[in-house]
Amino acid sequence: MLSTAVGPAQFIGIGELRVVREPERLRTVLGSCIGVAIFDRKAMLAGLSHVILPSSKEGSGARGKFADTAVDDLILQMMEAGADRARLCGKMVGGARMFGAESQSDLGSRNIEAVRDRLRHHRIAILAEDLGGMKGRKMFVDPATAAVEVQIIGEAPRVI
Amino acid sequence: MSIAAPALALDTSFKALSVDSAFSAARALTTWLNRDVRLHTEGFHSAPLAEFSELAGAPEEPVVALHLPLQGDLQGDLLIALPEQIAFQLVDMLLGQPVGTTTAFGELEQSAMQETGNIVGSSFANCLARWLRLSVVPASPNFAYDLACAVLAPIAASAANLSDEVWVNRTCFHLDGQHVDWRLLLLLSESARERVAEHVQREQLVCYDLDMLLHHTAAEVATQLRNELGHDVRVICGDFARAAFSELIDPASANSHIEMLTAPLTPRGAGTLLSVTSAEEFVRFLAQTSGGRQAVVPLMHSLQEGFARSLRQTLAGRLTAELAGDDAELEWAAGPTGELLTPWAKTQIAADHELFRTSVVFKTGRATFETTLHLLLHADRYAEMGTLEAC
Repeated sequence: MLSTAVGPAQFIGIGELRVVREPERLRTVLGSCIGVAIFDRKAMLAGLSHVILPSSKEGSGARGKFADTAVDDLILQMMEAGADRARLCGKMVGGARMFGAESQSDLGSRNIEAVRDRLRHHRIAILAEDLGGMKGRKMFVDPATAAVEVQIIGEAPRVI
Repeated sequence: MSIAAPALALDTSFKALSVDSAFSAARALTTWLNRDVRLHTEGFHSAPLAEFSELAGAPEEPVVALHLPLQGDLQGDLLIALPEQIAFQLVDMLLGQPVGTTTAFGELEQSAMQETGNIVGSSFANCLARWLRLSVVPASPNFAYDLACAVLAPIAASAANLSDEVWVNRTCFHLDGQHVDWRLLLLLSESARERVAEHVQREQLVCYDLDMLLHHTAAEVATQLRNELGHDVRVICGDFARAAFSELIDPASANSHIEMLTAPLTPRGAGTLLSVTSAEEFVRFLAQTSGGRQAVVPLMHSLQEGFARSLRQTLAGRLTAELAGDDAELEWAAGPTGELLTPWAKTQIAADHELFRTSVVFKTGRATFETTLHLLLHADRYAEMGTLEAC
């Protein structure tokens, strides 16, 4: 499995984003948030953003919190690190409905749609998704293989 | 109205509120679990974005989380989070079975946890409501067994929509004297924070109003005492601050001996002035003062009685004409805190009163003693304060 086969990965907290080159790796924990991973496999680069809110137009503060500005910044940081825009591809994880239907105004679904829209806007292909449901996820990102491992409590880990 | 109260003022002003709310929740939980539960609050603070992930515990560790959305005038979220193993132990305790029996969360286990969340959250929210005089209604607890960062995210998201900080009240638990890693978080929305800021601003005005009365009284009393007692007496006053009743019921100080002067405000129910002196300090005062005990005890009593009478009259003049100054008798009592102050405080917790506290230091020659002055004020009288023009 990806998470045990590699060394420690850098943790990306809520509203943060980072780009690393192989052999470094990234990880995060997601509930209703979205982990957006962008890869340039040839350059051995990967970026991960931990988005918590759909749109910067509905709030204010750090750009990494919002789907639209976080995806923009993640792409920019990938380019600055040497990625080729034409080779960029993405994977998405998260967007769960934590605490069941009653407690949240479907923030997870709104986050999912917002990230998809922004990746589409930048013409970045989404290679894989592990989204929705009612459980939180651990997400591990490997720039060398562009693999993303997803772990959910009580379920076998899967690689997308 | 948007009030930009400084963060520091909010944090310090609401420490007492946090203490009382935590105490209220601890009492409810002690009854529910039939164990000694204490809650220790860190008060409110602004947690930056970088700390969000760790608010409910180590972000990648599984926790049991109980989420109570707050409705009414004050919107926000209460979140109780417990590490998985601690939650299993709690369920065993609640179901009266040996520790180690529970290994998963079925319907019964979830229900036991939700009821616990309901008891803690309701008592905490009720105390908030009483302090702030706002409607604070917690919804039924939602249960989640998941990773700490995952359960926190949706709550932090709504609290941090307009800011890179969440205003959070963090409280931890002690069970039978041992720290247990349970966390009680209160996250308030931006609008709720503004409501609280308005309340703090009003409270600060009241305290300022009280301070002015206190300093005015101190100057008068010092002159009177100098004339009556033939001693040069200095009266040095601190600043009034809103206080938590629960701090008066701290079992740790139940055995400390105190001298307590009670000066009721009239008409009945308007409030009470309570002057509390440490017996130890009093003994030291005796030792430091020439003239022996017989001369000093009346002196100490005269100092405090004179001060209490004068402040009571000043308050009467400030508040309302019908509030008589000198009708009710002053009463002295001496003994352990647990016997004197604790019962008094307990009877007042549920009453519609506000508690303010400051210190007053009396200096006579080489001797000094300090009294803690509590002012218990009925809500109607409290409403009259904070509009000082002259006194």
